Amino acid sequence: MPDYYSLLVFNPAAYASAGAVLSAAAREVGTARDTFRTTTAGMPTWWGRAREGHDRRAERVRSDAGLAVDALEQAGRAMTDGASRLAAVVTELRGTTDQVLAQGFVVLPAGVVLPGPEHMANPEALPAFEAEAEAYTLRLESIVARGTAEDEATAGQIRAAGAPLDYGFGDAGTASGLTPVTITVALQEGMSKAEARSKAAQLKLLSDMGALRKTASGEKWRDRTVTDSYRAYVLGQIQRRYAHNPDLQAALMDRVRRTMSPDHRQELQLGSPDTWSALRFLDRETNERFGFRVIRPQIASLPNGTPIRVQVTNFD
Amino acid sequence: MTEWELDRLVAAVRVALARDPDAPIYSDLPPPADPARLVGLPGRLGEVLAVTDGPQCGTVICWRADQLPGKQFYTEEAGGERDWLCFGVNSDDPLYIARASGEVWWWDPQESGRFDGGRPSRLTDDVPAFFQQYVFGPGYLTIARPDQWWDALAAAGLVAGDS
Repeated sequence: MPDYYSLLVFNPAAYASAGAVLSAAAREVGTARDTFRTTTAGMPTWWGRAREGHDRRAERVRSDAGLAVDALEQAGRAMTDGASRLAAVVTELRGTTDQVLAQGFVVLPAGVVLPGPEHMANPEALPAFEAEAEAYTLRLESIVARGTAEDEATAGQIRAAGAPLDYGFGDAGTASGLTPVTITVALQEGMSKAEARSKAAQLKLLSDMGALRKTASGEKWRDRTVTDSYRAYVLGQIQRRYAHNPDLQAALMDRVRRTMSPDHRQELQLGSPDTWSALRFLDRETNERFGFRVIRPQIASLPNGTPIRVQVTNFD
Repeated sequence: MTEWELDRLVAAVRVALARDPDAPIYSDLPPPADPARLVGLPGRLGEVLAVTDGPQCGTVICWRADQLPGKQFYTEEAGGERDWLCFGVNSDDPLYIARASGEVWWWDPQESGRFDGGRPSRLTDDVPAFFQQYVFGPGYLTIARPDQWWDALAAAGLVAGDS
């Protein structure tokens, strides 16, 4: 799943090139299949069960090659088309980022927009700038969410293309045979409304993709060095980028240390990978309440692997 | 541990941190808190914040005195604000003071199931002891892995360098 920064530096052309390579490979495999001849073709006098078995195996090879051609063609088309759609999203993300920066706002690597030095110098108008920054954060998140959806859709098409070849891909929840359970996500007292809404939208999107399942409890929940090193990375970025403005640098670093915490967008308890790319910074209280008060009580008694669907209510 | 002793530990680490340009990435030792804000804090927390108000020491991040009221949502999972005070986090897992005893409690990742309705574990008698043993001492490797903060402690001569 792409995050803000990885989407910002993403190169859709490389994606398209990979699609072209797959399409070319499909043509090559197709040619090999069409010209394939078994050794029995030149041996008209060889007959019997051995020959029949040999021919059956040869037919299976031709059939499998046909499936491979279809899979490669479909996967190649999916990658090329996906690259085209992702290119549009990346262009919009870069354009919006440029617009935000041009207005003097600061954009953290996690895609969080904050008031910039000029805004900080105007305390009376700061609340308005903070509201504007929050709106921009939501807009960037919305674009990233669309990029995520496009990426997932493309991945789904590629998985579907490979399915006849029995590559073993598939939805873990569906494979478990467990019935999906719908949980309700609602705003709670103490949450940051804007950030909670954004978090809920992310979960809904992942829910619609069928990506959520209850993760086994009792397992080691997370590698703490992942979130610790992610915070250190973001602090390091702020330290380097805003060395020329110590007050802003200190304010941003304080926010990353004490006001916000790394959030697994998909939630570890709903099957999130425990990696940097799965993280973003979120208001601490919103993060904690989502994890412990909103989601955990609704899934605690469910069997591990249960597919989870999300219904969003009460965010007005 | 007296306030003066903690002051000495902080001063020693500050010297080591001053030699590392990356120190702000893993540490922050702000100036003392306003004494008026420290009245009535349990577990001798006030003695620590009187030296440095809301320090970050590697994986341990403490709240400033003025932030304490706004961070008590963390106590809900442990049993509530009446019995606990959350004074910071370790790797984003809350650190508590048991109000009745002043003891420091934490979520031990090796034992507790924070997501499974588990209970936090007792760590020290009070907050200064927590800082002396686990933040500025060899106990840091009980609550974290060797990192740049650990290296800073070693550079300050507070722990043996080899972990």
